[in-house]
Amino acid sequence: MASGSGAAAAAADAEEKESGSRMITLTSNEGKAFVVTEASARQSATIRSMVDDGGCVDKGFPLPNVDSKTLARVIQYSDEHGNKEPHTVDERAALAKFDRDFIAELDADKAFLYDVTMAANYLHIQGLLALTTQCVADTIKGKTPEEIRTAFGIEYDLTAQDEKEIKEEDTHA
Amino acid sequence: MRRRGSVALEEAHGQSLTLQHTGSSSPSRAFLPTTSPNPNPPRLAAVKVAAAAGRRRCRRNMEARNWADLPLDAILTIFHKLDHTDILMAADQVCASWRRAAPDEPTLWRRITMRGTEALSSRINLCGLACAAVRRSAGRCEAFCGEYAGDDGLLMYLAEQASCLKSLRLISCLGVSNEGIEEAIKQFPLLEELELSFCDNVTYKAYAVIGVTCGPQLKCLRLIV
Repeated sequence: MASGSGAAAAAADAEEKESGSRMITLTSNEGKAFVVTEASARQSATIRSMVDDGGCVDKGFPLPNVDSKTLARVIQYSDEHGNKEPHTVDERAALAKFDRDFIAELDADKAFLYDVTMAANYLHIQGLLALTTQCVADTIKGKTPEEIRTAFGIEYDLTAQDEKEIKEEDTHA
Repeated sequence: MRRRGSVALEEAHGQSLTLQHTGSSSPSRAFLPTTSPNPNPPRLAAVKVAAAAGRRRCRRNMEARNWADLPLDAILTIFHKLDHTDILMAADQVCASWRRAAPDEPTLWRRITMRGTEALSSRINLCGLACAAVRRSAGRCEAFCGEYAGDDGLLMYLAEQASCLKSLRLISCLGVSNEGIEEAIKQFPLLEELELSFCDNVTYKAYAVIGVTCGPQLKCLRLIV
């Protein structure tokens, strides 16, 4: 059982965790290190669970699936959402505007949107994943399959069996 | 027109008639499309499998981003943000991996929404498409909302396939008749919300039957005529 001083240290540790004052190093697959606040890093459920499980906070976290350009953009999002808590209407509006501008840039560059979506999915950053997938969904809405393939550069790879099924569904419809 | 609970009904052409029991918990939430960012938190194992499949399929070069190789969780998160018309008519027919994603996700079909379909209604059999959506729900459809996408045939199919239906919203469904709705409604013992707006072939005769059949468990009845 924890002694008095142990409990105090644990409390201080908990407080530090809560304030997010620790710094955490994230390393891209190109070996570039990014130092972020814990509050920012905790936007990622993957990193959050590793930190909470007593993971190697001091050694940092290598992210072999994320390149530097993508990680920098992901951190931009996490900093904005993790480091400040919007309290006033103005602050919430500013955060919403940040999200709009953030996604508008990605919408114009589908390859980068893909990278950020993959990173958000890999790191389990729910807010960011919601933002990027909404952007993808908005692009899909009202389009034909061919238009969607063009928009995202997807190759046609449906099998003869798929085509048969689709035809049957059409007949049914 | 019957009065029920604490809410008065007014009947007038072009006027919204809303009947709502007090104490119902935010009925409007019941028919919002599912927009939770990720109903199934991504599983690392699944991500790894998808990544491996992606490497196999990436034919051109390693730099190319292949949207067909998105992890299943991410594809489903996107599909959850789409109207079911967009899934069945488009997203489902884009590529093999997207096509495999939708049938594997029962929660995707639990709340079926087919709105904003007026432009399509003249060239597509939306009722057939709605039946396809109900078929995919595999008996677990809890909410159906169709605009121009419902007729007596669909109601019969729902009655057979969706005995746990809690919310039924039919808007501008001219193929729905008094007899159709009266018969179907008997098969939905859990129905809490019913909308019949601009369904010109459903009249006050059916409203009376609905009142008797559904009883007090019907928390929200919306009729715009």
